[in-house]
Amino acid sequence: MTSVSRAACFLVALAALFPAADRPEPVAAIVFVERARGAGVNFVLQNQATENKYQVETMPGGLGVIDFDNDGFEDLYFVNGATMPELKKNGSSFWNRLYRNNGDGTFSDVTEKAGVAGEGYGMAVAVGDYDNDRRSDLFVAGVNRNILYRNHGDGTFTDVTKQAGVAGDQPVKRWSISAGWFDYNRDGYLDLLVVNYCQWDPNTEPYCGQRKPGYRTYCHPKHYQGLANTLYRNNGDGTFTDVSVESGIAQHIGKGMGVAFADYDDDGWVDAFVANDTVQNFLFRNQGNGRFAEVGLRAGVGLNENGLAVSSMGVDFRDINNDGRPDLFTTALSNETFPLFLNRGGGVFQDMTYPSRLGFLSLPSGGFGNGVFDLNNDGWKDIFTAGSHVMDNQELYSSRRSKQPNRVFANLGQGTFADAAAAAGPDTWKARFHRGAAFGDFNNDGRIDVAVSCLNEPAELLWNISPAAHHWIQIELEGRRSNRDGAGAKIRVVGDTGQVQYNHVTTSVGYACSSTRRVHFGLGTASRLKELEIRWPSGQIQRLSDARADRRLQVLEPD
Amino acid sequence: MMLRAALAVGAWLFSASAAAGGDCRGASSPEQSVAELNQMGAKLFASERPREAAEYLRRSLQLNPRQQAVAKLLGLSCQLANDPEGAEGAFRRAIEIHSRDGEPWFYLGRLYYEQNFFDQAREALHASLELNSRDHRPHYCLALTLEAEGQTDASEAEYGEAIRWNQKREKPDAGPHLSYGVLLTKLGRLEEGEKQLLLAEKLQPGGWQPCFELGKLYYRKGDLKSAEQQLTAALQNGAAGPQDQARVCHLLARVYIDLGRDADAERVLAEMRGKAHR
Repeated sequence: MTSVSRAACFLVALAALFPAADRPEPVAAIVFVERARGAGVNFVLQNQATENKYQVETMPGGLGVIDFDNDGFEDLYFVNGATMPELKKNGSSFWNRLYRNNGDGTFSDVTEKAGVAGEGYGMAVAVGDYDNDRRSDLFVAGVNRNILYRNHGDGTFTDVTKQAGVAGDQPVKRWSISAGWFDYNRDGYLDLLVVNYCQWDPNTEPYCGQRKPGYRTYCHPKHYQGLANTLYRNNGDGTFTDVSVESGIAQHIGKGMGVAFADYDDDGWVDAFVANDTVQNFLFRNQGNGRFAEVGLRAGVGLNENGLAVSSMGVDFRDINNDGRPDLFTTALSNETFPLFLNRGGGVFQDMTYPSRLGFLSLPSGGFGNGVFDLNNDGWKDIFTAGSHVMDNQELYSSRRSKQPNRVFANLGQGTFADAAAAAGPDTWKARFHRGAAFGDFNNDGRIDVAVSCLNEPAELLWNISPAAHHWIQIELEGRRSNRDGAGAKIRVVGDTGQVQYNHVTTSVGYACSSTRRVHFGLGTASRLKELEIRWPSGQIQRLSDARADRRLQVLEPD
Repeated sequence: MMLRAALAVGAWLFSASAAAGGDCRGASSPEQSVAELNQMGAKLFASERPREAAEYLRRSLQLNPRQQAVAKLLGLSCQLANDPEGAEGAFRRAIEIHSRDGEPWFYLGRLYYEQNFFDQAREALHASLELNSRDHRPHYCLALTLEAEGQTDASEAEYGEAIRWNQKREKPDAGPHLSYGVLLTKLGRLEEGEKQLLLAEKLQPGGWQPCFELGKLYYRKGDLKSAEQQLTAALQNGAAGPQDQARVCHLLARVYIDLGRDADAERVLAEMRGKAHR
C-alpha cells in the first residue's frame, strides 16, 4: 500500500474515532509511516539484558535531534548500552551512533568520523550549544560516567569532559539518566542539569520476583537509594562549576527520570521539572538569585490527584491548552495513567488527567519517551508517547504487556484528547520495548516527525505524512545577548484567524532525549501571522508582524 | 474488599470448627484431628496470620480433601500471604468439590483481578454469576475489572447490578457505591458521582474513603468549603494509616491554597511530609 492510500484509509478510521458531537469540527488526522530502514537509520539499542536483571538494563534509550553540520537538516544521535556488568563498549554494536541527514530522506552513519561512539553504558543525550559558537554540542549521560562532546563544526567532535568538569564521577560515581541545557542565571551561557537515578552496584543487585526460571524481574525502585541531581553552572570559558549544593538542588533526593524546563510562573526565570520514579516529582522554582526552591507539592505536581507518586518517566513542559501557561505531561506505567497537570496560574497546577480523558485512554499503557507537539498542525498540541512496560516479563505477572505500542493522543482543543494511534498508522502501534522519543522535522516539510529507540530492535523513524492541509511555521532563534540557542525564549504567535498560541525554546523533552530546538507551531487555516512576539532570556522583547506561514523563520536577537 | 470478606468466611469456619472440635469422638480420631486443624487454621486466619493458617488448613485438606469451606479459607489465606499460586490452586479445588457453588469462582476472579489478570478475572466472575447472579460481589468485582480495562460502559452496567443486589442485603456494603462514585467522578459526571459517594458515606459512617472521594469531587466542582469539610472529616475518621492520611493532607493543601489560606496549606503539607515519612 502506498503512503498516500494508507493515509486515506487512516483518515476514514479517524473520522469514526471522533464522534462529531464531541467537537466543533473534525480533528485533523495524524498519520505516520515508519522509514528507518529505507532512510538508512539502522540503529539497534543494545541493553545487554542478563538473567541477573540489572536495573540499568531496562533504562537506556536516549536519542537526540541535532543539526550538527548546520545544513538546515536535522540529524540524529542515538545513545547505546554496553556489556553488563562491566559497562564497557567492547564492540561497535555498542557504539552510540550519529546519523547525518542527507536532506533527501536518507541518513548516513558518520559516527566514526565524528568521534562520538561514546564510552561506557550510555543513557541519555542533551543537545545544546554550550560555548555559543553556533555549533550544537552533545552531552551524553550514562552510568557512572558522563561525556561532553564539543562540536568543531567540521564534522568532528572532541571529548572535553575532563576540562569542562562535568564527568559526574566526583566525589562518587553516579548513574545519570537524563540531562538538559538551560540558562538558569541568564548570563547568556547554557547551564546543565543532570538528572541522577539511584545508587546502583551490580554486586548488590537484589533478587525480585518469584524464584523460578524466567520469573526474575527488575526490582521496584524502592530497593535502591535515590540520588540528588547535579547542576553545573557554565563559567563561559568552556568549564563548568558544580553548584548543586549552593543552588539548593542537592538538598532533594529523588529517583530522577525525565527533565524539562519552562518558566511556569512567568517571572522571567526558567524553572525545572524532574520526573521521579515512584517518589514525589520535583518542581525547582528558579528564585533568580542562583537558588532553586523545590515546590512540587505546593504547586500540585509532586503527586497525582490521589496524593500518590507514580512511576514518572518522560516529561514535556509546554502550553497544552493555549492559555499562555506551560503545562506538564508525564508518562508512567500501566495502571497508573499518564498524568496531565494544567497550569492554572498563580504557581498552581491541577491534575486534569481524567477530565482530559487521558486517564482512561492511558490506563493500560506504559510509556517512556513523550512529547507535546502539534502533529496535525491544527493549532493544538498533541501528545506522542513511546510505549513499553519497564519489565520484560510482565505477562507472567499481569494482563498488562511488556512490549507496548506507541500512543498518539489528538488534542481536541476543548481540554480533552482522543486516541489517535490506530489512525496514526500500523507503524505507530507495533508493540516493542520503546524507550526514548525525539521530535524534529527531518524533511523540513512542516510536519513533526518522531524517532524512537527500542531495546534490542531497530529504532523507528516515524515520518509524519499527515494530510498537509494546515499551515505551520517553525521559528529558529539565534541569541546574541541571550544564549545562542535562545533556550528559554518565549514565543507568542497570533494567526490571521485570531488564534493565539504560545511555546518556548527547549530541547529537553521526554525521557533521556533531546528534540528540535526549533519552535513549531501548527496554524490551522491561518496562512500568515498577524503577530509574533519573542521574549528573549536577556529580557528583550522582539515583535514581528505579518509573517508568512509554511516556512522556517530564522530570527536573530537584536544586539 | 478482600480482607473483610475473608474474615467473615474465617469466622464462619471457626465457629463450624469449634462445633466440630466439641465432638465427643476420641482425640486421636481422624475427624477430630481435622477439626482441630480447622480450628487452628481459622483462629490464625482471624488473627491475621495467614501463612501459618495456610499450613494448618493444608494439612486438614490432606486428611479430608472434600472440605470445600476449608479449601476456600486456604485460598484466602494464601492470597493474604502473598502466595497467588497457592490461592489459585485452593480455589480451583473448592470449585471441584462443589461445582455448583459460585463463591469459589468469585474468589478466583477476585484473585485474578487483584493480580491484574483481567481476562481470567472476567472469565471466573462470569462463571460465578452463571451460578448465582444475585451475589453482588462478583458483579462488583466484574465492574472493577471492566473499569481497569477501560470498558466504562460495561463497568457501569455491572456496578448497577452490584448495587441492585447489594441493596437487598440486610447490611449493604458501601463498596459498590464508593467505587461507582469514583468512576462517575473520573467520567466527569459529578452530580451522579456525588449521589453514590453520599450513599457510601451513609453506609460506612466514620469511613475515611467516602469522605476523601467526596472531598476530591467537591474540589473538582470548585465547592471548596464542602471539600474542606469532607477532607477534615476524612482525617478525623482516622481509620487510614499514615500514608492514606498523607494523601488526604495533600488534597486538603490544594483546597487551602485555592481558598487563599496559605498558612493552613503549609501546615497540612508539613503534616503530610511527616506522615509520608513515618
